[in-house]
Amino acid sequence: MNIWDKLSSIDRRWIFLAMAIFVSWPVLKPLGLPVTTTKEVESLYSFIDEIEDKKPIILALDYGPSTAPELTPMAKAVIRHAISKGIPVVGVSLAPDAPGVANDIWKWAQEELGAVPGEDIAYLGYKAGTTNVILQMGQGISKAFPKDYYGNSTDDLPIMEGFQSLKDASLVLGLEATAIMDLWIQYAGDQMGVPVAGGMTAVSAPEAYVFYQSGQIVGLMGGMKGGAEYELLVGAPGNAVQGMDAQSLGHIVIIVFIIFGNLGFFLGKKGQDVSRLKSLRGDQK
Amino acid sequence: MILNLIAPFNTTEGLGIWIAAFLTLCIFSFLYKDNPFYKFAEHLFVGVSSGYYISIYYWNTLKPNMIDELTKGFTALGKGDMQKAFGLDESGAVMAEPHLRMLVPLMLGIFILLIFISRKNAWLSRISFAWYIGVASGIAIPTAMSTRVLLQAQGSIRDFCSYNADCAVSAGLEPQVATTALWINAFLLLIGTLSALAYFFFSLPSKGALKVMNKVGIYFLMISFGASFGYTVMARISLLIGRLQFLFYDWLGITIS
Amino acid sequence: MIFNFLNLMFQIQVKEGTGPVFFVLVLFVAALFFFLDKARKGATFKIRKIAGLDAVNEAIGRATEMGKSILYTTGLETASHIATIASLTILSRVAKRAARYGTRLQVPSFDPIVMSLSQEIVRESYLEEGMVDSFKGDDIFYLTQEQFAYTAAVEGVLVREKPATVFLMGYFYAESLLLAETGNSIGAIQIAGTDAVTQLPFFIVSCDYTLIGEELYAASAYLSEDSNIISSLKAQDFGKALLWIFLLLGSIATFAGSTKFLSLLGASI
Repeated sequence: MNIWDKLSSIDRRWIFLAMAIFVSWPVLKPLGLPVTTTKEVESLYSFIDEIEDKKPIILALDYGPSTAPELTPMAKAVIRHAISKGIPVVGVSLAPDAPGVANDIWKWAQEELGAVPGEDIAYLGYKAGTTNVILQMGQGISKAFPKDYYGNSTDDLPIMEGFQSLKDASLVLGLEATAIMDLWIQYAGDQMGVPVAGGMTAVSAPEAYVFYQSGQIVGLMGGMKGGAEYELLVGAPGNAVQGMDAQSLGHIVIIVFIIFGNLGFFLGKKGQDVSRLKSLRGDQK
Repeated sequence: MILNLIAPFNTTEGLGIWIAAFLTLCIFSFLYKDNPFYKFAEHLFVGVSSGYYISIYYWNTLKPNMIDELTKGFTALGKGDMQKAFGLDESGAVMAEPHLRMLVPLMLGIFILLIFISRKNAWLSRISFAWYIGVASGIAIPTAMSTRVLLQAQGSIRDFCSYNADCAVSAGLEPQVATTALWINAFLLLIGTLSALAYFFFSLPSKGALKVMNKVGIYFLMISFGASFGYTVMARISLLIGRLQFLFYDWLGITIS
Repeated sequence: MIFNFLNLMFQIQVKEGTGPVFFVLVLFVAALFFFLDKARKGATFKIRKIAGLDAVNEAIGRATEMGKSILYTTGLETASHIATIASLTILSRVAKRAARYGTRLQVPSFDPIVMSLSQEIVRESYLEEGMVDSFKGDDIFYLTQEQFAYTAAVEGVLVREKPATVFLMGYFYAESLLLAETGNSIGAIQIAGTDAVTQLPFFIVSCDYTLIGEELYAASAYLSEDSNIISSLKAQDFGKALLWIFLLLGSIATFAGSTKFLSLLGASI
């Protein structure tokens, strides 16, 4: 086996070990690598910054613990921004495993930001039905959520004064791990005319770029990087910014191994065998 | 860097953090090779998540939407209040709470379950599926056509107008200063859209100009898949970072000085 | 004008700005009925060969030569999902070949209804090949509806049974790479097909052939030879062709300064 074949058949456990070392190291000893912001996140920040009428933002927390490392920093950064501008935040969830995560965020907002429940923030809980819930919210928030997560009547909450339906919201920000973002864009955005923005896991973010490009969403945060950018913009670096050093080194490790693998494939015996086989089968045109 | 193993017990979660850390390490042990610790954690995860979801669906979906509503409906019926029993207020207007109107979806749900219970009566499930597909299609298709086709098509050609001040003003768009890079971007977007669309055209054989477009289309598709792949790798590393932050900061109580 | 007429005659209130959507839907439905009608009157429609379909026969042949089994998974969605329906059509074809060559076919299912449908389809295929005695119902089995438990179970089947050929056809989520990697590690030839855009990159890098998005539906139409399915594919192609022409003309016109095309597309429902 020559060096190229060895490169393309490295035992995967060495890759895991390299990843573990290079991702753990910056978590324990931050490197302070620069983090730049992108226009997608900046446009979301500007939009919230320029909200004048102080109508609530609907924060759709549609994710569970498995994607919390990516999306919770976004939620906290946006809530911090909104509270600092005096814009109330009303949380809803369309994913069944979201309430636990959302409740933690709400507790954090009260402890860390001094947000007053019912006035500055409210969490209405989870309701099954996705599309139907969004359409119902368009007819009336309390129709979809007669009570909030803590058992209080929605209509009696001070935050709901002058805020009857989804159409009254200044923004719908969906923090999504699944395809629910599509539904917010279709129904809240295009059908009801409410400005919509997205905070997506990095797996789903590429699909949302087309909506940003076409102007159907006003901003987009993608993955932990998106959360880190927003944390920087609000001036409160948190877990996401802390994770960026590790993110960068992790990517470098992946890039190095991709290069090794490709060099090994094209220059090694295995790659030549496959090329020969494909030409024999007439696959190459 | 300071290590503080008592830190978890200074929080209300205490033992839960130790259990979470243990299970995390059990799953990570699979990276070396399969072992009983991994199997234990995996089976525990499957069991707990199944139980958790059953509980979630019962308390968040079945109970408030079906059981509570039917209970309120039958209670009102028992008191002789027919209007309230069927979710109507004093003026006869439809209330948000359906009460006994939930009997209809209950019946449709039972029809679906007949597939498993009774082969002879399984045909009734078609009524439920027809209702569901009909309503879902009626809501979804026009909206999807608008959001995913028409507005996306508009987005593909809009830049050509935005970069032309007169056109932008008459179209009500914000005029943009077009640099060379932006123009190249707009043309690339158009070529990519047209060629990718042509790639999925199955009615004509792949010959001549169509063959060229298909080739261009597949290159654009592969580039987009590469970007998507990179983003997904980023997502997975982010989740790893989240776990490591938990292990180092919450479990081991490491503080960075 | 049409909407005023509708309002006057039938008291139908048409929401302002919904014209383009209505028009496009009517056009598409008209095309669909046109092609369906032609199909019923005996017209045959040709669709081009999908790259990767030759590989299906080749892959089944490989399993037969090696004396090993075929593993076919229909994805992690329900029977109402279009990718699952397309996958079941392809399963029918694969099952026929497997019956003809006497190759074992295993179908682990995520959904109980899909499992029932898979059993019927495979039994039917064996019957058509006159090999119904060789049909083993136990080879088409339900596992679990928990995503990663299903993945772990299928990986277990792959590692123990070591099939020569693996088909991954349907809608997948994060487990796509896990399944494809395991299939790769046992040296199986893998053919995947999915319309899950986020999972396509993983299949492309780890499988031998991948049906991308709509190719999965076209492949199922091609293999089924059902005129109804093919005519709906034709209607889709008609829509795509119209959109293509509209985008090209719209770009040229907009580049020249016209706002006509933008205003035509600007309405939503």
